[in-house]
Amino acid sequence: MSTVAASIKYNGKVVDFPLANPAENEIADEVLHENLARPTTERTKRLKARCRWKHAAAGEFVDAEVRAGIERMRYITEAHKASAGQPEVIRRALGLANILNKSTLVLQQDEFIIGYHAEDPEMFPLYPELAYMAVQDYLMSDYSPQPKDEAAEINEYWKKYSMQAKGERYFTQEELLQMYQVSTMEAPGFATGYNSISPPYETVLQDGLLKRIESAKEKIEHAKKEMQKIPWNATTGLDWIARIDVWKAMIIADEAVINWARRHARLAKIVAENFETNPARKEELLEIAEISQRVPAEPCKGLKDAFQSKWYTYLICHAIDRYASGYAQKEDEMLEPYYNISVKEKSFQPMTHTDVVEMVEMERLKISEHGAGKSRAYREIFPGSNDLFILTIGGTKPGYVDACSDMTDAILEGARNIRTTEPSIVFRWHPVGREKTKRLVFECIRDGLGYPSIKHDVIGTEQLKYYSQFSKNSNGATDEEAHYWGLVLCMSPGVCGRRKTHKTRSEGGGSIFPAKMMEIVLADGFDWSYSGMQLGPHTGDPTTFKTFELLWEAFRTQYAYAISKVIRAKDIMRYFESKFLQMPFVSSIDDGCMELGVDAMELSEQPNGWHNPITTVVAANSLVAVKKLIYDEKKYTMAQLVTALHANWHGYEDMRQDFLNAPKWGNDDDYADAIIKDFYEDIIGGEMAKITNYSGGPVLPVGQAVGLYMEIGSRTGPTPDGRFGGDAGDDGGISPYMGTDKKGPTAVLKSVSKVQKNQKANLLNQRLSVPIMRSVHGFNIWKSYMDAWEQLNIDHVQFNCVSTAEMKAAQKEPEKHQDLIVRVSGFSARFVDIPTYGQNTIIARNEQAFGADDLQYLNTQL
Amino acid sequence: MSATGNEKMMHAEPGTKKPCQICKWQIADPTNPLRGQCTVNRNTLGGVWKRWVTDVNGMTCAKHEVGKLSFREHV
Repeated sequence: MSTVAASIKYNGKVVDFPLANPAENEIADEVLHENLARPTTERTKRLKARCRWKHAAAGEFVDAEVRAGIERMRYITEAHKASAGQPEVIRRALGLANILNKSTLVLQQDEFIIGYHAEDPEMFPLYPELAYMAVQDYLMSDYSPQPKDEAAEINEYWKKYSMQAKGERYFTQEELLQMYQVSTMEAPGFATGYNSISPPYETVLQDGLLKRIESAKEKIEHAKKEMQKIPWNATTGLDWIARIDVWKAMIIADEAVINWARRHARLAKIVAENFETNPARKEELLEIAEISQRVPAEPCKGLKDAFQSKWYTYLICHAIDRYASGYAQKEDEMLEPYYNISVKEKSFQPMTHTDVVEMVEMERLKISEHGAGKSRAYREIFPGSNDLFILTIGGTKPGYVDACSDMTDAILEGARNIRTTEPSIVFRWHPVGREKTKRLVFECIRDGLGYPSIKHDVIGTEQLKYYSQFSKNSNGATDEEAHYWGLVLCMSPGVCGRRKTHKTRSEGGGSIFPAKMMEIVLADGFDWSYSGMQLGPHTGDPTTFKTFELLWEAFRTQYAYAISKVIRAKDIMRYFESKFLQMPFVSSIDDGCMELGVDAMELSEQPNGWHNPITTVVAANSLVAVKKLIYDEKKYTMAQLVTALHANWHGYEDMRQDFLNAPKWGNDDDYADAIIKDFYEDIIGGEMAKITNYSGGPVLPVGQAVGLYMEIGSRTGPTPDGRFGGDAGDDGGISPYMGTDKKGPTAVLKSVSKVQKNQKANLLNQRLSVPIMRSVHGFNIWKSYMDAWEQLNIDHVQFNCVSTAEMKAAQKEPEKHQDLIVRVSGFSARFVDIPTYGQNTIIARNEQAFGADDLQYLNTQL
Repeated sequence: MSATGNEKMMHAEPGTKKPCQICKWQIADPTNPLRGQCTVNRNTLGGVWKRWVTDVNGMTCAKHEVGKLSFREHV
């Protein structure tokens, strides 16, 4: 039987919490989430049943059938050898063209949106031109590309040309070791190949690639005429050489993409005319063929066109030309015009709203099946999921007018119905957002999907305006463009649209780890617990720190050292990306690159610099405990603390309890919050903001966690917050440490709202009571919580709504809980595909109930 | 058992027949496949306190056990 929340006395009356759906009274807590999926059609039910999930955990693929393909690495290598001597940007375009012209096509039963990025739907491509260590790791695994000898030969060929070889030259061996071990700093992109991008989909959907090719040709003609002018002027004339090469590369890339899509059209037609026996499917395959013949070459004419054109563009930008995580887009606004054509006007590809929901479900299953050839580090840190596929909806248009539409609702309905871990959804919350849509957001959260995560619409919009002022070519986002944003990955807003979008992770992304820094601050920069090497500068013997300020400054020194190093690594990567890793296709679909003849890796119009501090709260709580017990109350000495930590608190349990029970973040505690606010604003944000990156703007912190709070926890020794060595870190950028927020949900909001300065974003993870959220009062309580959250000017919040009983049942019998989804941090995951270590961290999070005091503060109307 | 530092146990031994590479407690380094991570230190609450293995083919320790753990038993 389902648990029902206990009645409470509120505003002078007794409030009961009967379930909103009485039928759920008969469903046991332990199996609730196995009873919530309701695919819209039999087709999406079949597609979900046969989906080839590519979840990873602890660096391994959960499904033993998943493996790396060889085609992409084979064809890009073939092209690289054949194009020696040509301009590098042209070589990149020829590489893409060779892959697209020769790769095996995949067309699967029941699909309507077609296209895949490897030769088999169980496979994913590899990228030897990025990091040879990452490919070598695959070669040593059970899922190596075959033939293995050929793959090894290809990897050997790329060693000297790879981004890794280029980037490493500008760091000492010690610096590389410090970064590569991923304990105080995330390894640089040139060593992992990890990347992110926000493709300017809108140009493809609105213009079509034939028009883009025409534009590039006109640019070349214009450039040639400029070069022929008399008298010759080298100071301007020579600039045209590089630009002509960029435009030529765009044409090669776009023509290849059109040909590749039309190969799909031919394949669908051949199957329809020669092999398909089901008349309905035959007709559908002919329609698929017609669509792929039309798009992305031509502008989209209806919603089916838009879904297909967007998918082809996604595959090129995120998987075929180069690997990039993410699914960044403002999907509802992008598709709304086509929704109106097909659903409201019914003037092309007519369909019903329910048909659109089915399309959404099919797109979600395409993403769920999409494999990412990412390095081991990134197979570790999104446990139970595939990759960071995250789209954005909701928010406002210029003038803060509601941007929600029926397309927004279709996206939410599809997500709620089909229940997949990916893609995650971000909802931009603004008071003007319509309630109908907010109810759907609530239903997804209440059903335990962990998404949408919620971002503060005004904070995100104003932030893009702020960054715009640093634009190197004085052409950053306009006030209007600043409203059209989506998250690049989990947490950071970036401009969407035809121009100025985020093109590479060397602009924003990557992590540093304050918990580990806290550990080495107490050991003069030395890492005694994991690597046995000096990880940072010598900041002194902590037992000689006579004041708390000396400890504070020692931390600042370690932090400043690490953050400058990782941003330097990203900018060095960007330098080489612009010279050897150009993206001609991406350039061709960006209006700025097209206008200026500059490759997307080089052109920066809208700065968007950020880096992710992860495990900040462990460090912050540690500082609070040290200040209170050593410097204020003088109950212990620093020497005693260091000794106890080196013993992992063994023999010092009473002392550990004191440190564990010191004030903790998230309880609206003035003592703790004052220190922690300063820590965020002065050190975490303040030191980062001193940096200027490639794009000319500041770098700001985006506090979050992904699965790195587990990885870093396991590489971090005991800390003064009372944590044992190896225990997980905190699970969000600004979330209280698991189980330490004991004053209820509104106390958490009050603490978090105190941090405002020098931040770009901060992830807040909260776990909500299932019986309350599923009760008749669930929406009203949640809505009043969200309104308070918005008024407190908090950047982000995301929710788990899953019971401990169900998670523990899933640990015992994983095979019976395939539909149990949880929010880890920044992404949702299949619970049973997460290692036990990570599962336990989610169970340990406080389940927030709402008492009368909370409801009073929220002014909830029940 | 609570986790403790195991530097005394893990050591370089060129040509060892029991390299970390084939030990069930070892899992690959996140970046460089020639390095690894030892996970033998585990506490009763499920915590896994890792130790860096700088050479997976040339290091070993007394707790060496050939095999491979499920992803569920790692981090």
